[in-house]
Amino acid sequence: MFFATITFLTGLGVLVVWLLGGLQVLGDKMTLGTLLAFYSYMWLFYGPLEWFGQVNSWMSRAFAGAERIFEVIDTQPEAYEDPTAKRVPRMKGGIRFEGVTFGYDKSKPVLKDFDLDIQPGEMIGLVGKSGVGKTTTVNLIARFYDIDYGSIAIDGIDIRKIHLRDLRSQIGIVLQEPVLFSGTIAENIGYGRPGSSFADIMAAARAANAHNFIMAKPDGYETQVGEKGAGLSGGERQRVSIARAILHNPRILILDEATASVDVETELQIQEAIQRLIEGRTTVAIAHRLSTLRNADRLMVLDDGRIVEQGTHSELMAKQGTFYELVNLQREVAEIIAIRE
Amino acid sequence: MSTFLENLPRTIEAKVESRKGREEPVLIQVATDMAGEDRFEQRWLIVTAKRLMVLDPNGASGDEEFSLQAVKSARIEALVGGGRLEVEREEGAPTHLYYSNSLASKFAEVAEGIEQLKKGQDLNLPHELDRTHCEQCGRRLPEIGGICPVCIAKFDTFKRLIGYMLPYRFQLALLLGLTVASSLLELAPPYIVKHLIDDVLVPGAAGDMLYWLVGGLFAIGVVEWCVGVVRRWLNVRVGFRAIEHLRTDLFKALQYLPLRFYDKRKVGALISRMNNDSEMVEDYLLFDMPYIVSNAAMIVGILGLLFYMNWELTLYVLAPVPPIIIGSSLIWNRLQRFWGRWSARWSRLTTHLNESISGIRVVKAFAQEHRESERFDQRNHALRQISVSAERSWLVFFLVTNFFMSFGGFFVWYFGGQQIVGGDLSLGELMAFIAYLWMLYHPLKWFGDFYSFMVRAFAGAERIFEIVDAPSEPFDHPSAQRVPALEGQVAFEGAAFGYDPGKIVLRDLDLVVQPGEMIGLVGKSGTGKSTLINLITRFYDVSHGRLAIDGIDIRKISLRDLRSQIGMVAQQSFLFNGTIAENIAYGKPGATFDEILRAARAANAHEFIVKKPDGYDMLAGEQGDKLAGGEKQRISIARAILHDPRILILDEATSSLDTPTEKKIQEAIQRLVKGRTTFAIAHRLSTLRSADRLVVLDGGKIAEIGTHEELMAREGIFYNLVKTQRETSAVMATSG
Repeated sequence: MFFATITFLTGLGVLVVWLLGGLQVLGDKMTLGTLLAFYSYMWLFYGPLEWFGQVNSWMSRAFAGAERIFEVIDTQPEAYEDPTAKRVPRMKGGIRFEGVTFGYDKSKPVLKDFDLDIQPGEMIGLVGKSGVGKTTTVNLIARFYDIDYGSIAIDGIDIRKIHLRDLRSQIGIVLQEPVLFSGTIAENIGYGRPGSSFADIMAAARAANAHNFIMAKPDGYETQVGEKGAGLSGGERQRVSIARAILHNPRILILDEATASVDVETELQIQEAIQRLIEGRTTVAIAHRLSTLRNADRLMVLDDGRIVEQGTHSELMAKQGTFYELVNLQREVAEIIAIRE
Repeated sequence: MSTFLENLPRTIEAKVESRKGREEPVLIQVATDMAGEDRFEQRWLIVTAKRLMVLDPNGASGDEEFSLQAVKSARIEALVGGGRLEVEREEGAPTHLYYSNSLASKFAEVAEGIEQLKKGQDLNLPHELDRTHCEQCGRRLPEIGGICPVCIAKFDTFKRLIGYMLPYRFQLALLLGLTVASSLLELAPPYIVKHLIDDVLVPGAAGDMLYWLVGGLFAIGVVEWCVGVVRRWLNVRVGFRAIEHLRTDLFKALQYLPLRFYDKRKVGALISRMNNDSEMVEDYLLFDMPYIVSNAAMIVGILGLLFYMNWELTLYVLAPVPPIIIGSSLIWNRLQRFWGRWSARWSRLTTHLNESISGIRVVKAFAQEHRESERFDQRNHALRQISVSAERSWLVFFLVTNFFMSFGGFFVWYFGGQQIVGGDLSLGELMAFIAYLWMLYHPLKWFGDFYSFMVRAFAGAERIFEIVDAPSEPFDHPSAQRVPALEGQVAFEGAAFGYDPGKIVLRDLDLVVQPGEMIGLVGKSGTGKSTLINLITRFYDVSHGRLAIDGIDIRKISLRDLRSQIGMVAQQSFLFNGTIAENIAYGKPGATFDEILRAARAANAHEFIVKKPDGYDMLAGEQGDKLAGGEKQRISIARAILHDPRILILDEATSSLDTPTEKKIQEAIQRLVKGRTTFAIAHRLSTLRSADRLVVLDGGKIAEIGTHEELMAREGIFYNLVKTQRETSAVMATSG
């Protein structure tokens, strides 16, 4: 509509030139040649004019698109290149939470005035119902989120002051649902340390009990795994992700339900792999099966955003508190199931 | 031509003719690409109704021949980077044919075919394999099983796109009529101008005509404006509606496609089809297609007028046209290839985008943001390169065309001027001529441009149609048997299945499950537990044997009836954007609030739901508030309860939950399984105690069946699994 109207208006201009110019030619005030030249120039003039009419709508579309792009680009990124950040190329792995309060939504804190002290090389098990803040705690250690109040320190340095690359490159995470990227198995194992030699990759796979199943694939380490790790079973994907963590060689290791979704035989292999993996590292493990946390140095029982109990497995059992109840409950569940038999 | 009858080279053809009998049809003739594990050489496998031949095109040294009856078995074996076909005979060493991985799926079928022939069955092989190269031109396809950008069937695609506009045929006809009318109207002004110059603006002529002619120009302008407005409006209406239908069809096709379709495709590439391809088609329908008509009318009209005015001069005008046409056809193929590669690179870019965003937690945990950005850069760079190359070819063509066209202008001025001096042509005619000339070149130029748009749009349309046409799950097959109320008896009879032909996952499956029975599936990872369930839900069809529900072959049951009576509770419960109530009612739209409430109570979910600030109206799903894993699980159980299925599938429903929650969920599940046929997978063997029977899978077969006690007493695989599980706890206890 707009476009048609512009064309129409420029057409009107042409008419005026012919009418007034024609009268002048007839009155001998102008030659025909001048009129024809005028006429040509007029078209040259209208071309850009029409273009300006349209450019407005293109521009507003393009600018709207650009703005949406810039909005993402301008979002405060994680402070990777903060020059004031402290370089910690080699951390020991002591973690200390002091009076930490945090919620994904500030008005609904998940962790409240939370204290936790983990020694270098210690293995901690986090226990509690769903929604009490176990995953939140590990998210904070990896600084996926910044806390609202209190402080988290690694080796005595506030986590917000540590160079983020140094921090992340010394933390390894094994998730319940391993994420693999498109590419070969070897590439996936080498993900955290680009440029690793094949020997290193193979050693990591061996330590993760993954070598044997990888070699049984027709393409071995060159087997392509898809978007969701298609072509590998859950236990196989998990072992690839453990090999990835082993090669990454982190000081702090986070196990978030690493063995929940694998079968028994595979679990034994994965447990072995994890035993090798946690040696000499600070480890924070979450597992719902309380029995899988038996080898933790200390267990922390979380409830309502706080630690309500801590101690070794036997200490907590002797205490007959929340943990004891949880263990009993787990037994009961087994009994409920057994009733039908 | 069947996929398994490849074109023979002369030498082989002669050999085959000399060896086989007269009335002996060749059934399979395929080439391998290796001769031994590491030599790339061609060998031919020929199978007739009577014999089997392996032929060497370079000489007779490797030739082998034996009767089909002597064949004991044919099977494939996977090797590193390739595989081999092993044909075993009653006596003598087995024959091996080696091939690289690109031919693996072909030889899997060939092995199957030989087996069929050996048993005296008819040869029954699929008509198509996943294509990696174009069958017509042999070029590598941008994606596996995709479309060859060079060989697209332009006319067919065009017809189909028009088909999307046909429901509006009245508006379409009006649009065409108006388009032609406005083109013809545009032809009038230069002719009027000619009169102005020749008859009015000459010394001493009567001035009255000036007003009439200018008035005429004005009238034409007004009519053109009106026509233009209506035309655009119609165009936009019809075009947008057509594209709306196309997009709907595409989405619907994606919903109804079998899971098998998604096994080999990447989400990003599919989303890019939805975005880029449909946008290109949209542009084409809205902006390009109407111009075909108007420009064609324009060209014909102008040429007619030009010849009428001065045929001699017209021939000069047309002088640059042949080189332009030749040039277009030369550059055409080149551009087409560029656009094909361009869209392949786009989908690679989107795939990477999709993957790095859905895996962002891992990217961050390994501090690999930098590398992901770098890889994106590479892909982005590749995309830029191909875009620039395509534009460059196009620009060169455009400049050369322009250059030739301006020659037409020179010719007219030069020869037209001479004619005026000679008195054969009036100035007005020359001016009109030049005006028409530019009007003619414009659509001609545009046709070149249009071609490249068209190629892109058609390639996009074909990719869309490819999905729309892919065989969807037969939801409403007319011959399907309606089974509105299943009993829930499930029977596998000698069933076998593999996701890829040649890689069998389940075999020799015989199992009858009575209605209401609860079966626990046990086995290592990769033994086929999830696959067995995929067969019951008919996400896949069995390759051999039969799966029957209530005695009816599952392939004959109406898929809608089947799926609506199967419920699933998986380990990772997926909630959609929407309220909790909507999520519970997902399988039964229109459920009353009372029903939803009852389902939530039975699923032990009611208590925690009412504690939420918004209760049942709380938003869940991707954009909603966070729910804990156990809460999501209970909502999905409530969903299954409301859905009220006859057959229930529990896929690790409780493995990722903490103890108090698990107790609640176990209770809820106990209520849910009552009276339903249930298949449960759980790695913790203790959670399967309530199963009536346990089925132990091993190596793709059923290894043991029985109750918990029976299997323990048998001291077989199950017993060992239980022992291992105990040991696991013991291993962990030693360091504790």
